[in-house]
Amino acid sequence: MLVFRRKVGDSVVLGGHIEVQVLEISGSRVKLGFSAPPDVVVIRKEVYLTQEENRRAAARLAPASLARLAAALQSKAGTGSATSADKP
Amino acid sequence: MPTLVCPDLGPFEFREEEILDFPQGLPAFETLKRFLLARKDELAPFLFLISADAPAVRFICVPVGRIDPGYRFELMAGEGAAVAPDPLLLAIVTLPGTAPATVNLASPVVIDTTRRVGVQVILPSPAYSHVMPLNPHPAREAAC
Repeated sequence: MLVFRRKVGDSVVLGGHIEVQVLEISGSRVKLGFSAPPDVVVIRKEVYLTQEENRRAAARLAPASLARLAAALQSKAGTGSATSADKP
Repeated sequence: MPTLVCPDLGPFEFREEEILDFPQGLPAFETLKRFLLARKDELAPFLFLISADAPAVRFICVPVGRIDPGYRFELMAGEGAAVAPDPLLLAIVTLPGTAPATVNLASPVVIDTTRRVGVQVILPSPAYSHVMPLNPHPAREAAC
């Protein structure tokens, strides 16, 4: 990972057309400003991860695997896991 | 009675007043704002959040308390408007083919069952994982 030390008002430039500026520092929080072409999507990483995970979660599935998982969770709730004959 | 036909879970009859409103949609599915929360007895404890407008889009959910009884998070300002004092908390499950199932505890789905409004909250801290293994037999596998 490339690391820079920057002060409030300083910027870094990515790829010649994306600028990230340090606007404000307050305790452990930093406020950043982004200037980028309209086709560059800038989002918080946790939003990106949620989008990606939602896309994966909405993909088609095999209903049989869902039924097996439901049964396993029910047996865990009812009798504990000791009755399982699953191989590790 | 209207019916939603979900391609991999089958048909679900519902009443219009059961439909939940997600004013912001869900991240990556922002245009879908109306969902049915459905269940099938044989697939408990899973619940299914099915788009009323595009029923092929469905999310398998599990009550967060089934995964982590100590689950806690704080809402950011502005996120709490849609949320009741004692909301239904669900985590979305990912079941990718033959790979192990995971559950997203970092972005819980919070539903006010009285007002029938929902939101997927994106937690800012890395306290919880987007892809926590949904392991029905943790004790056995931990010993291997």
